[in-house]
Amino acid sequence: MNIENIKTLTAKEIRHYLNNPPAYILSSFFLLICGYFFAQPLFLINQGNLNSLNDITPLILTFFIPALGMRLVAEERKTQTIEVLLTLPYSEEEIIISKYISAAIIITGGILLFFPYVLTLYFLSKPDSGHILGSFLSLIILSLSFLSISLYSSTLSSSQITSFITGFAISFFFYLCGKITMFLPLAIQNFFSYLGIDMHLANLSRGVIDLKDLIYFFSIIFLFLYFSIIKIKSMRLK
Amino acid sequence: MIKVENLVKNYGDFTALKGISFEAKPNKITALLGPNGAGKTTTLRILSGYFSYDSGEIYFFDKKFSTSPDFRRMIGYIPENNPLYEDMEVSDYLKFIARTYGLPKSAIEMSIENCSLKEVIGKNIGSLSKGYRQRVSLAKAIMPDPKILLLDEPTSGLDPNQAFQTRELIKNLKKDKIIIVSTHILSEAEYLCDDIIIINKGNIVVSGTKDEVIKKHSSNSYIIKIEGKNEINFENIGKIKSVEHFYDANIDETTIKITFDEEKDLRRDIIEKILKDGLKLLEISKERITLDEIFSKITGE
Repeated sequence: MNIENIKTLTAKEIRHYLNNPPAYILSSFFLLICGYFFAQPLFLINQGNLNSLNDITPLILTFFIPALGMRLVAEERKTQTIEVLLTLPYSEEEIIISKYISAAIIITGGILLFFPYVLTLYFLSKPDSGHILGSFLSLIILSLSFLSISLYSSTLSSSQITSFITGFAISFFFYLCGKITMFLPLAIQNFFSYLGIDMHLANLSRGVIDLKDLIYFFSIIFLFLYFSIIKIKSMRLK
Repeated sequence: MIKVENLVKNYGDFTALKGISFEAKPNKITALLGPNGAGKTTTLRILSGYFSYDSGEIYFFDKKFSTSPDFRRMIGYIPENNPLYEDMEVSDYLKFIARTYGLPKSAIEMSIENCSLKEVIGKNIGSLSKGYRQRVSLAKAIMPDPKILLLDEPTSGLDPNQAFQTRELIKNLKKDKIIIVSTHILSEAEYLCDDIIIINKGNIVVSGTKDEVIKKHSSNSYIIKIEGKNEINFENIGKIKSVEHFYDANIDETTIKITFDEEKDLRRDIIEKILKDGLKLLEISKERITLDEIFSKITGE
């Protein structure tokens, strides 16, 4: 893999995001919805923390991240520019990683735009900084995991809607896994609990960085990036 | 040189290429002709590294072909339907291509100059006419000065002036390059190309230099026009395959189409015979078969 190639492709992808409205629209909606869930406990019950936000954001992200990532490969397939891209001297790994990095930068930027909201907490109360940082870290790492899933979904079809639905369904599966354990047989409860994001996210958002949780999220990221690379390689075999 | 041997490509149960073999030489433009679905685009997609193939061998300059980025560096490719990043400005797109190949700014300027893109450099690609879009793709393909240019229907959808300019541009590029052009427009192939390959249903049915192909499929026929109602006996000139006489009473002129079995040019003998018989020769021409006729004859369309 060539770093210069990744830089060139990443710059091109970021330019695409910045030159088109979807990234702005989605970021605005994300900030609006998160702002509502941030402000509600603050003003209604005088609670200056991010608990309410931590509860709802994973569900919001199952929708927003696939919406932002659905175009990554599907659009190239639809407009046939994938043929241009795959015949330029880039490896499949460079293409997928660049697309991932570019969307990750946009998403992380979008999440950091939320930071001014959080600053208001420091004016109004004395929040736990470890908790705040943990919440941001969990939000970012969860987004990056869902992004990897969305990128893979985007390689599966030339239709962005299909990619979105697939990305949403897989992300939602991971979201749901931790929540349905009580309905499952005892023997598989632990497995599903580990598979779901809840258990891992709870630690991170409390500001507790456990290697096990990081391995979980990075496994999702690498696994779906690997699947995406395999899928792109298989396009040459069709 | 590009050497393709027994290339086979299957799409599921359908065999798109049934073991084709051909060569494309440097400093020459090779035309890949064939009806829709014949396998032209598949061949170019394989050579560009976009598609893999099921069996056969491909060599670029005696090196075994692979789809690695290093091989793709050798190739400038314009795909069918000319896909482009519509939301990018021409200048951004060309800068992206230059960075991809690690080229200096002068390479961008040269490709802008060669493809006459100065007028549209700040415009979005999506807003360009088909002619300019084609030029943008051509600029992209030639910018890294590749050894191999693969052009899939480069003048498709262009108006006659744009098509002419594009053809001229391609013709001027052939020095030190191997150019393969897939086209439906047979007059274009006849004007542009040195070598011709006709593919039909996944097989190569004709290949060779343009002159060889035309000569091979031409018959030694002559159209002769003489004054008055006359019939001439050409038997002592050569072995006759067929002869047809048409007399037009309105202009008092006979048209004779005569085909000989041998390949030798017999115009001089024919003229001498007519003059010797005391007839007035109005016109004589050797019938020349066009690529269109060869194409129709071979592909049956």
